[in-house]
Amino acid sequence: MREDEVIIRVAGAAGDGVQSAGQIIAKTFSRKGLNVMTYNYYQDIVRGGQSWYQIRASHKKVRSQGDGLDILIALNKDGVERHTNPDINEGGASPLSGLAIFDTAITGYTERKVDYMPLPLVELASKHSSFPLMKNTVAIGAAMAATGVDFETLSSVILDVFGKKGKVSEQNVNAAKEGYDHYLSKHKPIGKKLVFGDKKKYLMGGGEAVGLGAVRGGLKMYIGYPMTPASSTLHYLAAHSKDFGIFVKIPEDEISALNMTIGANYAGARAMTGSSGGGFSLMVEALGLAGMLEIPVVIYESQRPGPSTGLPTKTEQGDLNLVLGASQGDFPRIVLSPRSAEDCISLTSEAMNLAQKYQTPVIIMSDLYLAEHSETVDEINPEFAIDDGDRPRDNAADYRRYLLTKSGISPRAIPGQKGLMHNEDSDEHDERGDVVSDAETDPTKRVSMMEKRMKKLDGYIAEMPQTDTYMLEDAEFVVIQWGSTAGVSEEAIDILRSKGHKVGLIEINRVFPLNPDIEKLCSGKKKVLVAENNFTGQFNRLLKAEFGLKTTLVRKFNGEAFYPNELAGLIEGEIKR
Amino acid sequence: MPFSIPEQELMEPGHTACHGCGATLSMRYVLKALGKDTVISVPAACWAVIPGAMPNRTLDVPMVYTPFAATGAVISGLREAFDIQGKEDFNVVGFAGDGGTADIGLQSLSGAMERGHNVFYFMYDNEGYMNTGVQRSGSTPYGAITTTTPIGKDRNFKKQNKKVVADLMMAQGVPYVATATIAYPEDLIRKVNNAKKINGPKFIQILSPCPVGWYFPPEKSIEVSRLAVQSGIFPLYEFQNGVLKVTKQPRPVSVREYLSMQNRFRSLDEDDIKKIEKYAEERMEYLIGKEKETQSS
Repeated sequence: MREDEVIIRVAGAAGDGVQSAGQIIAKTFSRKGLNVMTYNYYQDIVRGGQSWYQIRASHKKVRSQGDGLDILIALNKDGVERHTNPDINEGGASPLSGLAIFDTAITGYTERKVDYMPLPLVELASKHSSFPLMKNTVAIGAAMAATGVDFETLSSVILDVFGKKGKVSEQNVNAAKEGYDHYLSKHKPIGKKLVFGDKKKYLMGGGEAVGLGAVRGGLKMYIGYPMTPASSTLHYLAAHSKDFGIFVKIPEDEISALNMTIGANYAGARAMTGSSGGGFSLMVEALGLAGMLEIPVVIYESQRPGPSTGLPTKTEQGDLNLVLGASQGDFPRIVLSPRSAEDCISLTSEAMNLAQKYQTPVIIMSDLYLAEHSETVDEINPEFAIDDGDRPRDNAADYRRYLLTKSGISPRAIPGQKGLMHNEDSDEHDERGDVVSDAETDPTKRVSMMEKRMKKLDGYIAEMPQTDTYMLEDAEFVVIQWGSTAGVSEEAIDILRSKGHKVGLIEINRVFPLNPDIEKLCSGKKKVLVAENNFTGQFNRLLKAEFGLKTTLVRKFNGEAFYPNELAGLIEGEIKR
Repeated sequence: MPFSIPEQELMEPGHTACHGCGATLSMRYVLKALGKDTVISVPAACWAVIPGAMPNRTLDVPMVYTPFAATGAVISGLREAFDIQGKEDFNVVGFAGDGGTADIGLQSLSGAMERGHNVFYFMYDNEGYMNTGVQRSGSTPYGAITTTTPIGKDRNFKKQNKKVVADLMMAQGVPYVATATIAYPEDLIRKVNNAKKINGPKFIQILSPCPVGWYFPPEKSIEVSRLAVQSGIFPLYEFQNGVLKVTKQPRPVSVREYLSMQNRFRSLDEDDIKKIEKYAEERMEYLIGKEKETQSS
């Protein structure tokens, strides 16, 4: 057990209040200035099953849900059994090695080598309310006492969560106090040496961060159709649409969602849409339309395991082939894959500019792991320079919407601008936007238009920042990851380093086009490993195609995210081979 | 007097819906009326996740899941395939929520109804995307708060009226169209039996209250369903071969009473309530006018 961090897991059935309890704990730690990361394990079910919510907190950097388990709050017997069992198979999560808190009514479980602490949760709760979930608050109080957090911080969080006024929040504070005092009257805090800070941190989910990043990048309209795990962004933006001064709409399906977004961008408003793979599949035709018309559009694609409905509440990085190949014909697209909530903010802001500048679709790929966990963000810089790209003035002489230029980028007039009459046609067209596909098929114009569109990304590649690395300088082996697995990969590298393996990491948050510097970063390494959450190694294939690299694939595709020790083990197995 | 509701159970215990779920009762009654020779097609919906968690299974009839937009297309294919195999008596049923019907599935539904396949389409209407977290749908009524029409600085509940798909089906001339709700099971079963007599497309919209998304206590589901009818918010009707018959219902309950039972309408002010009353009144007048018109012609 590490002294510099604490891992708490709340376990119960769907409908038991697992997530709400977990969020209170996470907020309490973030308010104490700790770094926090949460992990939400749940099923596609409205009631029953077994779900859990894990909170990891430390004054040190927290980059994944982590290994180990210090405190378990079990809301039913199955929770006690399941999380104390060393043969646990929850997709990589550790069984309990510390303290189990549960109600005294739960008995008859298999005794294992953990510290069982049945508390009279229901009895203590009933002093303040008959509401059955009030017992959770008592358990939270006890767990917070065990970690050494002061009661005032916890009570301030409860007041915020349940509303500053009203009986319910008062009852919850009292119930938490019962648990807190009861624990300390009989037990000592567990041996943790957490260094609390005096500045509270923002706790934010990746989905919210994408929304915030978009607003920071000048978002005016978000058109989305609900689909897990992309809905967290839609909910966040809908709830704050007035504060942000943006328009949020749910159309009848994803076909409409992307086409409305294209229309909005055509009319000159920065618009964005989002979905998961299923909804993105419906957007495929419209994606090519945006590519052909050269209309800026930003699409948020939050992955979950497919095919079809797949595992709607689980995580995977299995949509890369879809995103790279979506829509007929060749056209330029930019694909970004943020690694953390912070990356979600900055890359989504940037995506809003890139779409305008290069007048082409930009797709932000996240996954359920990134979209639905919460993590602390140190600071958010609200400043961001909006770049609208090449926009002609009214009455510009000899206006050509698809002017052939060196960069491939043509001046983009907004309908209604004076003297800039033009067509935007989905057929192949000439510089003025007039169709060259039927009456007057013109092979020369086709070639010049294809070349014009396809060279637009040269400018983007040239302005890309250097690829981020971790512990790479002296590394003999290199691991390449993309998107949400960056944090856990860094922690796996730390574990391997502590064992004496010289391993480094390349972190990819710009999936397509790839930064040419990746090839150089890999040169001279004994082995190049690619770690990703899918069956076929979709990113691995892209890397090999782009750079001709010889790589080894490390993968996980059971619907759960990598855990640090697990990933380190997989990498170690390959480098020792 | 014999039971008017068949005793046969094709929906067994073991579903995983929320307490007080109206959609489960809708399914149960529909299956009682249709019997065992039935295949059901369900798109993404609450009903895609509530037929039971492993190893339980609540339905005793086969079920096929379809993409969200495709219920109408899938039942068309099923129907024709059964027919060419000589299984004309087998009931082919689409059972979709309001999102899968009023929004993404409307094109597919309309196509299937227009082509005239001998199918049943049940829209269990819980007035929102409840499975994915209470988002608005086209079938959400004016005034309701959902997670995508949250209450904001200017009372940002849904500002558009409910799109009543049954009315659209009627306008399209579908041979059998009806509205029903779980508080009136005899009426619902009678309608399914009437629909069975028609060889062609049948559409029944069943109002299925959702305690979680409408914010009322689960034990009130039937009461909410009954009040929806008794307040005139959700009129029951039957449209057969071009003739409309509206169930004349005494209205002992005010619209206000219906609204006040559900917390999703909590932010309405006096003007909003009047607006809803007026809308309910006008819709009833429209239906009664339509009834006169179709019965006299």
